[in-house]
Amino acid sequence: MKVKPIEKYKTPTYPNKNEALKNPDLLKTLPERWKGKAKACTAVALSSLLFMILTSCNTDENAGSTGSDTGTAAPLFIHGDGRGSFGCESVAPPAFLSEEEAFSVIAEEAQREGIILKGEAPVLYNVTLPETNLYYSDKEKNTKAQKGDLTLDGYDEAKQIAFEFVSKDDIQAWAGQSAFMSSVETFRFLEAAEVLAEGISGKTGPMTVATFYDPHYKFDSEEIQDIINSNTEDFNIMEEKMKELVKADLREQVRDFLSWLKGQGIL
Amino acid sequence: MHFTLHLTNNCNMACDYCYVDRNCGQSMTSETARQAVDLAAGMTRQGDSAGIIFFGGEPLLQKELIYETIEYAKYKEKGAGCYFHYKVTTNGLLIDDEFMNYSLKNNLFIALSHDGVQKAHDQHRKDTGGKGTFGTLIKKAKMLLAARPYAPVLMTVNPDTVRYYAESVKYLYNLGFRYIICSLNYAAAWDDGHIAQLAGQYHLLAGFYYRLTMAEEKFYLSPFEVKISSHINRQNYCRERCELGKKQLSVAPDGLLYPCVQFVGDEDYSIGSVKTGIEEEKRENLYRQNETEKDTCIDCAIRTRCNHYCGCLNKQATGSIDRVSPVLCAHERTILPIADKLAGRLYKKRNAMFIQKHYNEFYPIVSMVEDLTRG
Repeated sequence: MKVKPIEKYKTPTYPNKNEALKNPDLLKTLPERWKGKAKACTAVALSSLLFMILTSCNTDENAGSTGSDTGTAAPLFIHGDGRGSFGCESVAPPAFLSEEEAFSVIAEEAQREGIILKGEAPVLYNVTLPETNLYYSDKEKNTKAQKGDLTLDGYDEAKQIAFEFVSKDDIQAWAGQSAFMSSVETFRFLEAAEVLAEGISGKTGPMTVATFYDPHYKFDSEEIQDIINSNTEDFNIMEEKMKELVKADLREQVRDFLSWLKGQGIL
Repeated sequence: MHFTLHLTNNCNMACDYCYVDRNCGQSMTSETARQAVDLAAGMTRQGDSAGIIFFGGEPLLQKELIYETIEYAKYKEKGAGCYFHYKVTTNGLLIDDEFMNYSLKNNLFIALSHDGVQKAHDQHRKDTGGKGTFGTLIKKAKMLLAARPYAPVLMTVNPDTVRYYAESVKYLYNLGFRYIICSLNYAAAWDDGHIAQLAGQYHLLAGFYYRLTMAEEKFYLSPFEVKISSHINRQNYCRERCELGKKQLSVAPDGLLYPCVQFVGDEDYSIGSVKTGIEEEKRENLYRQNETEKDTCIDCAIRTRCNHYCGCLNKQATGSIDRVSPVLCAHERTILPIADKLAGRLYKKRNAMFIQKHYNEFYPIVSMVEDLTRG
């Protein structure tokens, strides 16, 4: 046998202590056997508090965003239906924005105000995420909540500003179990963004975090019908026009966010 | 700081993997033990605590010396203003009611060496007549656990017993042990086939760990705990690495000082004596020699989470603190991904016991409070 160095090793999927500290609620997760035991619970509460105080002095060059805990989650800025579907309901090609397309739009708008967004962004641990349902429902609200980690989509480390864009990929990744399936997948971006914006509230550490969503329009909306009726022969043109429409809406979401930042004195 | 007093090289057993030189048959005198306590008191700052560990051979062959030494240490505490805590590592055969009562009254913590199921234990842990000690040990282990439910058990895994690894851990758990510390006999003749068996056993143990944690059972199972901690506490983990002679000293029966138990008897590694104190230059040189990254490991992606820096293990396995054992390397490469996958699964489940155990620095206190309020 010989000593064999390992060339690459995958980063574990559980956080180290410095990363975990960014989520002060983590230690509130108590074993069932501790619950209902007054002394033990008091000790837990005290220890958790002490833990936070003691370790808040810890400096770690790899910890990313640290410092004063003065960040916030921005409210949702609504432009676009935030609804879409894929399957037999769609006779027009759906024009979902990819994560890359959305990043490009958001970064471009943000740069006008001196915010330089990078794709490498922090993780928010143990926050409330949407639990989506991909299959058709006539319920007014079809999105529930679940606990999980959120890797943000963009980050300006110097200004401590970050964002998450709720994309089709996200809706699929957050999908819960469904009692039934169908040939149509529905995407409730706005609903999911609402759950997410609320779910990360108070858990963003020192960062100000915006939640944007794919503005995609419902098939029977006036906007979509106008495009379909004017381009019945060419699906490529239809898709292009729909993308322009949703990108414009996304720009509006970002502009509203930038105005809000100024109003808050953050910019 | 811990001071390990090797009370005797004699033993009432004849385990074939033991690294103690039984032929020299030397035992520590009361005077040497007292000088060791004096040294410990002198090196411990006022208000601080230090550990006095009784080791062997089999330390319970020297029960009277243990009693005398603890009595003297208590006397020294008053003058020096420091505190001592006590531990003995034993093969268990000489545990009896009188000793258990003494240990409870004097806060002498007891760790038991036990290799698990009979077919593993009796393979190597034999009495001087060559008979396995498993049968005798059952009663002793139960006696120990009845008085000290938190007693740790130390299990050694050999190539010819690796196939019983998981079964042995489960046996010890079912016997009542909740602190199970396992390590390989790195000096043995391991081959790739044994390492493949080891991987299979770690997968079984990961499943065992997962089920217990999901059921919110409290336990400590090393090496899983250590490997998970090496990621979670990565900064402190690096700081807590082997510091030859700086965090612990071994005192040989003749009073010579060594940086760890594996070095005792090899006078090239002696770093002083209880009479003359520590030779700082020798200790510092050894420490620096050990701190230097090994050429074989410098480019390894897991070197910060690996035990290759443990000079004591290297000495035991290869005869040199600078030469990393290929067995140790194979072990670390085997267990790390299994431990990380296990921890990842438990974290993903947001398992509360896992989170408290690994992220709450006050978990031991909270856990103790919970035990006290259990009823």
